[in-house]
Amino acid sequence: MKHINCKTIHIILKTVLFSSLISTSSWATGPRISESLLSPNENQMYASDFPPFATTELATGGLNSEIIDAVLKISNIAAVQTVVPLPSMVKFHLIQDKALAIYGREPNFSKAVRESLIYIPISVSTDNYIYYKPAHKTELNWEGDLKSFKGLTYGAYKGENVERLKEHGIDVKTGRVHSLLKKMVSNKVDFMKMSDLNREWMLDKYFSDNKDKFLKIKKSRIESPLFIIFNKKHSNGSLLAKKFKAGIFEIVKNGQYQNILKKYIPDNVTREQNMKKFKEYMKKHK
Amino acid sequence: MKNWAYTFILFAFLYNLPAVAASYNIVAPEDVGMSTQRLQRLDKLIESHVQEKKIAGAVVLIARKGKIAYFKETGLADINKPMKKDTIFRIVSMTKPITSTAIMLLYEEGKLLLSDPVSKYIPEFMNPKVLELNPEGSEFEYKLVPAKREITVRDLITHQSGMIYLFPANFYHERERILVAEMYKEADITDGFCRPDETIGDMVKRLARLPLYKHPGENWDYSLSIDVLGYLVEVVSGMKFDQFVQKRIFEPLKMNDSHFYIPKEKLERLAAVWKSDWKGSLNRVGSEALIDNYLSLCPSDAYALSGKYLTGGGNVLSTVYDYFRFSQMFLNNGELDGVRLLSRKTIELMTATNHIGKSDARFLHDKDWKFGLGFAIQQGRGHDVDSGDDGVFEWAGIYSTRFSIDPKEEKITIFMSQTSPFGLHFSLWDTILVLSGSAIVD
Repeated sequence: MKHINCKTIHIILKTVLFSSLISTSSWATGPRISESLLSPNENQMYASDFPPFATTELATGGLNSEIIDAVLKISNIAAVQTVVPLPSMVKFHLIQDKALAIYGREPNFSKAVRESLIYIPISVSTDNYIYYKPAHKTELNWEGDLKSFKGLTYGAYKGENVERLKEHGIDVKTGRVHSLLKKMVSNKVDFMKMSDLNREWMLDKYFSDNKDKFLKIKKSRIESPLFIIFNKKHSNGSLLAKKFKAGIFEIVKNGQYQNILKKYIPDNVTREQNMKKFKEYMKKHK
Repeated sequence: MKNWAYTFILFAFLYNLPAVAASYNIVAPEDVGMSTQRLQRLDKLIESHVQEKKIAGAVVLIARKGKIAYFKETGLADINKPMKKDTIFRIVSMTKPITSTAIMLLYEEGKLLLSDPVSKYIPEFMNPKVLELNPEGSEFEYKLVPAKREITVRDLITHQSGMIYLFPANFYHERERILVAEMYKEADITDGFCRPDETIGDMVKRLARLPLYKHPGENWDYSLSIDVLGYLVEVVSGMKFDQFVQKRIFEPLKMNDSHFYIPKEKLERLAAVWKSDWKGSLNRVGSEALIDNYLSLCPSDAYALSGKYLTGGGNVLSTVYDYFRFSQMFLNNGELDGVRLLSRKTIELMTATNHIGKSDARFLHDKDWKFGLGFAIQQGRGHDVDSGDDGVFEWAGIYSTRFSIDPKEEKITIFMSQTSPFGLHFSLWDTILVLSGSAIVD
């Protein structure tokens, strides 16, 4: 009996000791230290706010984040996605921190930087020039080139290549999307380029009362690929880019990609157009 | 009509009188150990400032031992509109102690700990990064390093989060500060003195993901931390910040003229903001923004009847009398007119001087002013003050509003004008404190 008791006490003590070790953080009363601070994942991927493609406002992280998640899973790649508020922070992480990858619109990189990167298309952004109807007496029309917008003011995102606009005598004001839209309402910006999905998101969120007054400039539709851009300077960059590329083909093949796309683009015709364009980009970057 | 009916009507009439009118219980200064004659020096001081067109007008209140001993309005609230005791002011940063009080209400209910990491409630604060300069000649000017620890609630309430305000970059020019301030600008983070067309949550979630200027807990820097606290109140309480403050602070303390957005019927009572060089050039500010490099002020935003932005750092419009009631609650160790808002222990915690270690709260004051949970607290005479004592706590608003609470003398001093720029009223405020202090004769 005495022997059993000692053994039992020993087991209990071990259990108590073990449980106290694993739950230390929950007992602490001082500042908690995040686990991820102590064990950072080496494979970091960054994007800047671009709802609904990349956003902290959706639990899934947005369209691009969901696609990337699906590919990471199928390719058995461990990586962490982070959405930061500024494009300049994304550039910083890629170039200085040598992060594994960034995703979203292609930033304006120098040729030398581009050579150290691997571009893989992950989705398509359908963009249109838009304007605010009450600020203009007549409709703004796209006549095939930028000449027709001479003398107007364009709202550009920081880092957007605006050389061509300036060459055509278009004044440029830079800012975040929300502030550019506000400037359109207050007649300080005449037009800007926006992704259709992003436009819907921003107008629903911030301009629901006057959403209908933001009009697309007809025939100004431009499609452009959104990329995941791997960094060859990251120790796993080239290898994981290869695995990722195979993975994205895989999720298109098994229909996962289409299912994700359906959540963001419910309209069949638009989605099919988007998918067709995406396949073209994939072929181009094969 | 029977006697009881007359009594009932009289009672109903008295009960429904505006709270402000009924509550201006001004006593003879001598009843609370102050000198009427000495307090009259304040009349001359403010009148001379009005006559010399340094300020358009002001309201000053001195209370002692729970009673108002001096309450005087002088000059103009707006063009052709005299200043009144119930004039409504943009108290801006005097909102901060109100926000801190809201946090401490939740703290007392056990809903948060000061030691909690903010990321527990607002996940965007997880894994903060600090901007540090690279050695000169490096390819990149700065690097982002993981913060030594996460930001806690106490870091926020004591301005030790590592975040900044933009406007101090006008007079502090450290390169790291400027770089962080530029990132704030790029991310459309403002000081909130011009109310953005978004929710405070949207702003805070962006701010949380931007680099810090300093490691949390290592530096005192006046900042947007209190705006974050306002959002934290929303997250923890499940109520909109203005509704929480209305229900839990303004209503119990009968601060009937304190609002985040002004009710239409009170628009008439809102004072105008005046731009003054304190040399005789005094001009009413219209709808234009006052912009000075990193500082942006939009006084006309206060005329908005509603809006999305609810900032814990500077949203509230209030009166001198309402702020007296708020201040008296602190002097009474958390209670006013039989309503207990906070416990004595919490007031002691809020007014303790050991929250920021060896740092000084160098903003309104120089050395020897510490920071409690919501205000600066005097702890020594390193700063060139002419009055006051250890334990005096105070804060200010950017349109030249001030309050000071002296627990030892049980004295409250409140001055409100609506004058810009902020920095030029300091000597007037110091003189008000000298005069209110030297009027104590018991």
